[in-house]
Amino acid sequence: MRESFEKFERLDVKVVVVSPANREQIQEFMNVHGPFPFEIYGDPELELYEVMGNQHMTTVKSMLSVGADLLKGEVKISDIVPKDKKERKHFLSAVKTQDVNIQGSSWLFDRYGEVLWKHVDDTPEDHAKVDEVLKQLRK
Amino acid sequence: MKLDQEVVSMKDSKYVRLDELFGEDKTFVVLVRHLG
Repeated sequence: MRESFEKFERLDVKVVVVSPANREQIQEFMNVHGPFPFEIYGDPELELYEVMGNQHMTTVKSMLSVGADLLKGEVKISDIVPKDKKERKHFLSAVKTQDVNIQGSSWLFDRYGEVLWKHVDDTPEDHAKVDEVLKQLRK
Repeated sequence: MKLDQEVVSMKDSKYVRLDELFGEDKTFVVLVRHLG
């Protein structure tokens, strides 16, 4: 997403990222991974996540989903767990302290709040790619 | 859809309503996801 910041800027849209974490957890992420170019907000109580209809997988389903992807060779452990020591430490801490089973979603609204497009992820693999969001914005 | 839920800003630690963040005359993109 960081690499796409300029592409969004060129389209003159306002972008915000809402993470299912509290302020301290997001700050910890930025301390490890560096500053984030988008405006970031936290939704630690998952209120917005609920209103937007984000899916919540059970831990068993999440593990089965990841396990299946690993077996199919679609994902490698290194795609999930960072190699860098500091990043790995943060990742393992986040897995323990944040709701990792909540799935994401991507939304485009007009200035009146009308939904122009949305994608609610069913699974982690179903994540809307940034290129897809950019494609929808260019329509 | 009502977007009056509050989210906490990383900029100043304040809670703000999502619908108050809409930019004038701009398409508003909300990416709801884990970081990293």
